[in-house]
Amino acid sequence: MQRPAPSTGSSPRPPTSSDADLGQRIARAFARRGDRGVLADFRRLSGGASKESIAVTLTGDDGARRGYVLRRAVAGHDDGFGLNPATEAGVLQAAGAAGAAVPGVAFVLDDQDGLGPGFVMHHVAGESLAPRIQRDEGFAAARDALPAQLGRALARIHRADIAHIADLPDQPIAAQVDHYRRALDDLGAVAPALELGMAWALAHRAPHARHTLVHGDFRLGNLMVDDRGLAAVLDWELAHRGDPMEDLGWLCIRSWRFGRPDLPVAGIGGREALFAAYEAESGLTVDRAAVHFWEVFGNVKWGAICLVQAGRHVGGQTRSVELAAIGRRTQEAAHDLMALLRR
Amino acid sequence: MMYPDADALLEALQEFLTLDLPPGDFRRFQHRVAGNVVATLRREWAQGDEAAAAERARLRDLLGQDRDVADLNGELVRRIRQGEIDWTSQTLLDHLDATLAAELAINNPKWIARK
Repeated sequence: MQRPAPSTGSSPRPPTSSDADLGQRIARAFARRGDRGVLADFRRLSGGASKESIAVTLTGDDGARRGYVLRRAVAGHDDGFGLNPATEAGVLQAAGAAGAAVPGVAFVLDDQDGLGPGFVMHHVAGESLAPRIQRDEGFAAARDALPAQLGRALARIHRADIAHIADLPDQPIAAQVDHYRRALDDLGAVAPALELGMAWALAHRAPHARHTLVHGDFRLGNLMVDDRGLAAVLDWELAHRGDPMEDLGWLCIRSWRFGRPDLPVAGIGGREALFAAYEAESGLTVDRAAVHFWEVFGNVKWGAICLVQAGRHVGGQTRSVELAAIGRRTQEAAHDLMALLRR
Repeated sequence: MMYPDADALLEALQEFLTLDLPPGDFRRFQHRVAGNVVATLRREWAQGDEAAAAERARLRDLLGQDRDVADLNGELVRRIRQGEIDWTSQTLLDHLDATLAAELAINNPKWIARK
């Protein structure tokens, strides 16, 4: 259901010895689909726990360079969370058809590619690192535009036609609570404040007015932003069916405001600009109480994910000081949820 | 004092980790994270014992049992999950607030300071 969220500041890893073989397979995947371009470069990007993203550059006959991103499941990295890549590609296409800015899907990998389950999408230029979007002078106009753009993008995502996507899980609150309780139990993690947040959530279930596509991880870090604002919504592997207000609440949790806790929408703007644009685009009223519910539960989720991330280090799957340190962030979310649920 | 105690060693390590690496070096981010980890260790060294003792004392009062902190927290989680403790009770909320405040004072003091 919920894999650990990617970190926001990792640098690319250095090359490894198996990379030459990987390059050959990537080049062959494009060639098999009639692409006559020559593989110019590929490098691993920092990414989620269960999937790997690889930036790929091809040089065409005319000498022009074309950028792609290959997303694939990685053996040993699959933690049972997240969509399989073919479903993720289908969701991307459905959101794109509904008018949301998303990277175009170039092709879905098959067995003959020898790259595991995955898909290739077109590269979208821009910046995804939150501190740069929040602070750099070049993004000043983007920051003014973003709250409304995010509201419109979510309204479009939430009207996407997903009837044909069979593998997209339904995630009502009871299932999410169940999932995180089990994840924490499996780790042997003991988190009373998160448990209290889950008890609160079960007692205050958000009324399910609509049942739509939910992005599931809509926040800075997963949004490509250029100097005019939102360029593309990325990282769809946590998409599911559920209450659309979940995306608005998650976007507003303090952890996703990064260095600007005073600005509730992604650390760049106020809630009213987001809500007004969502309402104008969808013709529907934003249920403020439901957004608040999901903001509280978003903190439960993030607090649990911090512990799950640390568990990958402690359990030995991925030894990393970064993952270990994220475990010590669980109290940030727990603290915020304690303050919010008394509002 | 000439002899470097644990905090002096951690301080030296913290200073080492803030040495500048060339721009673009993939270790820059990891070094910053590692420097924060050392800062957390130094605060835990100074505050951890007192915070754990206070937490244990509150849990003992709350649950009426005398066990170690980990067991007491496990029991608290069990009671919240099973509905055996009123999670709206002020005593429980106050205990969790105090525990989280002490943990944040070690892990990330800015989180509360910048609220």
